[in-house]
Formats: sequence, C-alpha cells, structure tokens
Amino acid sequence: MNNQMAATVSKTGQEERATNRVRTLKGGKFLTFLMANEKYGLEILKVREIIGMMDVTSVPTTPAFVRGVINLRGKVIPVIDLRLKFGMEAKENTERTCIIVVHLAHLDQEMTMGIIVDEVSDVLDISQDQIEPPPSFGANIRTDFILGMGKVEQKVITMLDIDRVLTEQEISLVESSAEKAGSEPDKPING
Amino acid sequence: MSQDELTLNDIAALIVQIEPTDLTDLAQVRKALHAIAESSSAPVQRLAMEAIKRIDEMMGGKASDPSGLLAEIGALIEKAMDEMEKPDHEEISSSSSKSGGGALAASRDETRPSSNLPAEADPALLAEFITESRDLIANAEAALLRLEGDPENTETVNTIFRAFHTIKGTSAFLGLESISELCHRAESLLTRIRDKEIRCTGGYADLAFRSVDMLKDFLKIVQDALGGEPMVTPDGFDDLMALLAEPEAAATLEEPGEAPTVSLRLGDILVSQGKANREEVEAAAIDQGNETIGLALVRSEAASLTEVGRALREQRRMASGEFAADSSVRVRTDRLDRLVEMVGELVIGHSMVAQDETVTSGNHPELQRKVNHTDKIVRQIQDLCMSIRMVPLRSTIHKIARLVRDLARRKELMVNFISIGEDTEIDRNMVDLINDPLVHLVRNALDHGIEPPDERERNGKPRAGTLQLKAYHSGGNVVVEISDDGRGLDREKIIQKAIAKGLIQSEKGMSDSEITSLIFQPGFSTADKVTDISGRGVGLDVVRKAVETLRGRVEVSSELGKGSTFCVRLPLTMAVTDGMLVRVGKQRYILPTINIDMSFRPSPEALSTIIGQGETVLFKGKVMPIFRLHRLFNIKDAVEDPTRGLLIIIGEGTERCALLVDELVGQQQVVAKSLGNGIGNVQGIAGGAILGDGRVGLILDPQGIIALARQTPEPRAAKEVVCRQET
Repeated sequence: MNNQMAATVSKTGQEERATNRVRTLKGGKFLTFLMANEKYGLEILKVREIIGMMDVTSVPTTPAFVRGVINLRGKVIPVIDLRLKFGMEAKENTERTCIIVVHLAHLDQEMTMGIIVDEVSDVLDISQDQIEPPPSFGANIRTDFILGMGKVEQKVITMLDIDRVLTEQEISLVESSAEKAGSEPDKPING
Repeated sequence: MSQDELTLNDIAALIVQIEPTDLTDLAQVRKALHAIAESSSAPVQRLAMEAIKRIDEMMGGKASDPSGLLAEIGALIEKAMDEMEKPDHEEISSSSSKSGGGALAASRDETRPSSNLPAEADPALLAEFITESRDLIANAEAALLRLEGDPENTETVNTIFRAFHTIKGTSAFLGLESISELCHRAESLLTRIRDKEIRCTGGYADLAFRSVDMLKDFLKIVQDALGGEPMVTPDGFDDLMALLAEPEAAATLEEPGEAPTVSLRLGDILVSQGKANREEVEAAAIDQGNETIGLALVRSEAASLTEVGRALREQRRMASGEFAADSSVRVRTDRLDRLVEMVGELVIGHSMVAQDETVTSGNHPELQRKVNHTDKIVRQIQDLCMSIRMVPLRSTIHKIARLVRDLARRKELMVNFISIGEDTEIDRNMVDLINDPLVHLVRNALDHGIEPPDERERNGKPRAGTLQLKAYHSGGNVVVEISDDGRGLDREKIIQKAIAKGLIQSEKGMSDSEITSLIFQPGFSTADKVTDISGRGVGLDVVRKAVETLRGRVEVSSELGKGSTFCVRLPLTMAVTDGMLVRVGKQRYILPTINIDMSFRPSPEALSTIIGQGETVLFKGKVMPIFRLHRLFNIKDAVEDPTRGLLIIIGEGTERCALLVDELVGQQQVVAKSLGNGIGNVQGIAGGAILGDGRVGLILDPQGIIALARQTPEPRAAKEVVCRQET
C-alpha cells in the first residue's frame, strides 16, 4: 500500500473533520459489531462490557429507540436500540443479540448506557492510515456521527462517534418529545 | 514526636489539658521549655525560665493554688509565643496581668496579613483542614451554647479553647495567617474566660459566637479558593479583630440584662419528660429559698424523688458533653453508597440462589442448610449497611439551638430551648435536607409563636418561653416535634383569612385539624400575615413542600394562647421506599405507599362520565376523575373495564384522582435509583428500582402522572378536534 498517499488522505480527512468537530480519530483498537449485515466499529476505550440480551423494562413516554432500562449489577442504566436509532427496521432478538455497555463523558456529564446490536464481531487493530473520512451523501444520509471509514481486509467498517450518537441527538429528541406532549394539551379541550 | 521538638504551641495545648497533679506531664513541659529557652532570644528565654520556675514550685508540692499557677504558666507561654512571632519587639510588658491577650493582640494589629491562598499549600491538606475544622467548630459551638447556660464550667471552656488552638496551629502551618490570627485572638478572649477574669455571657458570649461564625466564613472562603476563586477576607473581619483585641473598648458588657438561656435546668428537663408540669415547677422555684431546686421540687410534690434523681443524671449527662465521640473513620460517601448498592445486589442475588429449584426441591438438605446459613449472614450485612448510613440528629439540633439563641437575642425574647432525642438517627442523606424545613418551623415559632416577656407576664405565663424540639423514632419513621408555649393558632382568624383568600367557602363541616392545616396551603401566606396576634403562616407551604419531597408529612396542632406543636414525620431513609407493586398489562410499577390514599374495585353504579368523555368515580361521596395508567403509558393488553381492575386514589385536594391499574401484586420495599443520565427525566416516573427477580421496576410519580393525564388528550376528544378542523 502506498503509505504516503494514505497519509495525505487521512490528513485531508482530519482537516475536514476539524471544521465540524474537535475530536479527531486516531488509530487503535476497535470493537466491531454487526447490524443488518453492516459492520460498525467503536473505540474500545468507550466500551465497558458486553452482556447478553436480558429483560428490558420499557419506559413509557420515551422515543421508540429507547428500549428501556436494565439492571446492571445494581445500577439502572438505559438501553438504546441502535437499529431503531438509525432508522433501520426492528428485529426480533436472537441468541446473538447483545448489549454493549458504553461509558460516555459528554459536557461534564458522565453516563453509562447500553446499546443493543445484532451481533458482536471482534476487536480489530486499525491504524490511522486505514481510516478514511466518511463519504458525503448530501442531505439524505446523516454522517455527522461517523468518525470515519475503516478499511480492513477489503471490507469497510463504519466507525461511530458514539458520544454523538447517544448524547446530543438523544437529549434533544427526548426533550422534543416532552415538548410535544407539553405543547399540545389544552388545544383539544379548548378548541 | 520527640519532646525536644515540642513547640511553644504544643506546650500551650498541653498546659490547657494538663492536670495540676500530673507530674509526668509537668516534667515533659518543663523539659520542652528548657529546650526552647536554650534556643531562643533573650525575652523568650526569660519567660520560659519564669514558667519553669512555676513548674518547679508545683512539682515540689509547695504551691497552695496549683490551678492558679497553671494559668500563670499558660499566660507566660502565651507571651513567649507572641515574643517569638515578633522578634523585633524588644520590650516585654512587665505587667503581671495574667493574660493581657487583648492588649498584646492589639499591638500586633499593624501586621494584618494579605489574604491569599498560600501558593505552596497542598490542596489535599487544605481540604482535610476544612473538614477537620468544621468538626471542631461544631463542637466548639455546642460547647459555647452550654457555656452560656453554665458560665462556670471550665471543662467546656477548654473544649472551645482546644478547638481554636488546633485550628490556629494547622492554619499557621498551612500559611493561612488571617485564620490563625483570628484564632489567636479568640484564644486570648477564652483565656480570660478560663481565668474567670470575665464571664462568658452577654457581649462576651456574642463575641465568642461571632468568632466562631467568622471561622466558618473563612473555611467557606478557603474552600472556594480551592476551587479557584480568589481568596478574600470575610466582611467584618477587621471589626471583629478590633473588638476581640479590646472587647471593653466597644462597651462589651458581661450582663446584657436577661440572657437567653439554653436550658440545662432541672425543672425544664422534668417538664420536657412530662414528669412535672411547668406551673408547679415555677412555683417550686419561687419557694425554693435556700434549698436546691431538686429538693424543693420533691418537697412541693411537683415530682417524685426517683424522677428528680433521674433528671439529675440526665442533666449531668447533657452537661458532660456527649460529643466525646467513639472512635471512627471517615469514609468517602460515594464508596459507602456503592457498598450499600452492592449489598442490595447481594441480597437479590442470594434470594435468587435460595429460590433456585435445586435448593428448594428438598433433595439436597445439606445445600439447603448452607443456603439458610448464608441467608442469615446476608441479612446481617444488610442491616449493618443500613445502620452505617445513619447519623444522629445531634449536629442539626445544635445548629438550631444556635439559631434560637441568635434569633431570641435579636428579637429580645426570652426562650428556653430544650432538645430531646439528639441521638435519634436518620439517613445521612436526609440530614442536610431536613435542616431547612426545621429551621423554617423554628423561625416561625420565634417570629409568631413566643411572645415578648412583658406580654407573656401579662398573660400569666412565665417570662421565658419554651421551645422544645423533640426527635424520636416511631413506626419506621423519624418524628421531629417542634412545640412552643406561645400564642397558638387562632381558628377564627384562619377561617376569615382562608375565606378571603378563596381557599374555602365556609368552615362548615371542617374539623379543627382540617382548619389548622389550612396554614400549609400555598397562597395562605403570600400576602400579609394573618394578624399581628396570630400571624402564623410565613412560608409554611414551603415547609410542607420540602417535607413532602422527602416523602414525609407535617402536621400541626395548636391551642389558642397555649402554644402550637408542629410535627414532622419523615421516613428513616430516602434510600428505601415502601411501595405497592401494581401490574398494568405485562408491566409492573411501584407506587410509593405514602402517595396511596386508598385502593378499591368500583361497583358499576359508582362510575359515570362527564359530557360523554371524562370518566369519574363516586367514592365516599366525592367525585373524582379516573385516569387510566395504560392509556397514559400506552401499555397493551391491560384491563379496560374499571370494574375488573383496581382504582387507586392518589393526590390531594383538587389534584385527587383515581388511577386505574390491573391489579395489586404486593407490597415491597425498594431502593430508589435514578434511571441514568442518558434518559433524563421521564414524566410520571420518579425512578427505577431493582425488584426481587433482578428486573428493573419503575417507580411512579403521582404528581407527574396527574400532570401527564391533564396534558394527554383523551382519544375521543382528539378525534373531535380533527373533525372540527375538517369542517
């Protein structure tokens, strides 16, 4: 592989990303998992543990992608269905369905969350020169929570910026659903 | 530390604690003084030698007044300390005055240090210093309060002295010069009190209290400074320092007229225990003549001999300073919380093992025996863990005692403050939270309850009012009663006010307790007070709100002219919630028991609808709306027919409503937990809890549910709106 070229590519990628986010992706170990036959990657340092699917207590009045809460050794943590979050079709749980517990630090807030994925694949070493910036699809597909595209053995892995996936939009979504509930009430009664 | 390294500071501390007859300690002090004399400048050397001479006298047993000598030694050492800190000060005052602390301190006035957090100070050490000092200050404050009631008690003075002294030493070490200087001057004042030169009453007591307050301010500032804030000198520091230097200059007097007393009197103890009534005690006190009060009480048959004896012991116990705490260790609270959490998990994990088929089948008696054994241990651990979290209410009550003292002085009231049950324990997380409501109630009692002395006398009451704070455990709750013997609540005034405010139409059919509890209504207090005479109601709704967020209740009982009693009932801990497990569809929820008024299955006749939509139920003559939990939460497969489900009455007053659930599963104690940051606040849900089977159950929040129900349009109503828009 032409190292020099890859380096320039990753550099331009960095510059591009620098415009809309502070963090840049370095190479390292990534936990990869499958969803709808697509492979995704998470920085291994964000991952706390992987647990098998368990009973999830659903929480009312939350968006659909919030599956509910589980008991993680005495701690109550929320669980997100990543499929629904990404607008994919829901899928029945299988034996391979897993909850990846991630720990996030975001705007002074620390949180532990579970994300439901179809199947956990393996941990890969991906160096910086194997990572490309996310391609642009225009307005149709959002790519702002993608850190980059990893290329390993001719396959492409989507590297997720899990902080972004679970926090910013999360909070805004939950809030907007609360707002919706809050703004509607009196209308039917009065009008 | 070897003796040679004892500084003058340490020696001064030793002198305070020393017994005049303890030769070993004296010898130690003597040796240390020698060492200092050898290595110091001439004036210090002279003072040290002087002190050594006194010690020799004492050790020789020639001294007629060892305590007096000890005090002299103390004064000499103090001078030597000043001398050491000011090497350029050549001349020592030859005055033989025992302490002269004020004058010496004044002469050092020009060296006011600049207030900056010392750059080299170790943040960890500073943090340690703050916590340690807080404890010391709390002790000193309690001791000061006692001292004011009993100015002759030297042991109490020493407690306060030691507190200031330790803080002085540490703050000097940490380079916090303003603090050490403040402590130094306060010490000087205390020395004079200890030497019986002045008495700790009136203005002097105020001065001591102000010093303690100033120290508190300082600690707060140091703490802020740790967080990067600039270090400033608290307001009034210079004034206080000047005052401390020359208390007499500012016309500080011993006797302020009638000092408010913090009660340690035998009669008060008897009255508070319900063993005697106040009038008889007061009468006995007037007739007592030369007898002791105890004897007079027995003679006048106000109390029996055994009761007086018991009260005497109690008095001694209260005076002896119970805060000589058992040995203890500090543990970070997050670790403690984690421990409690893990033990909770252990209990659940264990019960899952115990309920496993292999164990319960009876085929393995040996295994079952072992599991039972572990069960006992696990339970003990759980009890222990819960008790670790408990702390006595003492510090809260001491804070209130202080508040009563200050308020009474400011308002020129005479108040005896009696506290009972300082050892009553409550969850440590609750301690800070109950402080505000209690303070509010005490303030209220002093503002509106207890009359000025003259008015009391006119009404045939003793001049000094009594404010009693009583804490005790009752049926899994902590109860705090605050009672005063002041004006009491005026029923008529409350009714008038409530009608004027539109809270009620008329008082018809209202019991006394219903009327008195009107004072907790919001809006009752927003405007002017009821009247000057029965003006209760300053922010009492705030008190009720605060208590209710702690899942407690507050009640009041009162008799016009005799006084009122506020009774605050709180759960032992916020960590454990008593709840009812209810089922809706396949979901299970926990409804806190304290929110449940009643639950019943309605008969078909009791149900009706309003304008064809709003469902209501008639229960005990009252109509209330029905809210269906399954509709609010969008739960499938739930019972639709109220007569087949269960209605639970929640909420109060106009908020009262019936909640439809499928059935009641059982009662359960649960540990409330947050749902985690990621999910934020969910309306209608107060939190989560781990149920017996290890799954998470959601705890319902009745207020939230009611709010949600008011917001969510009924399906039919929504359709109507759509139709109207189309036409």
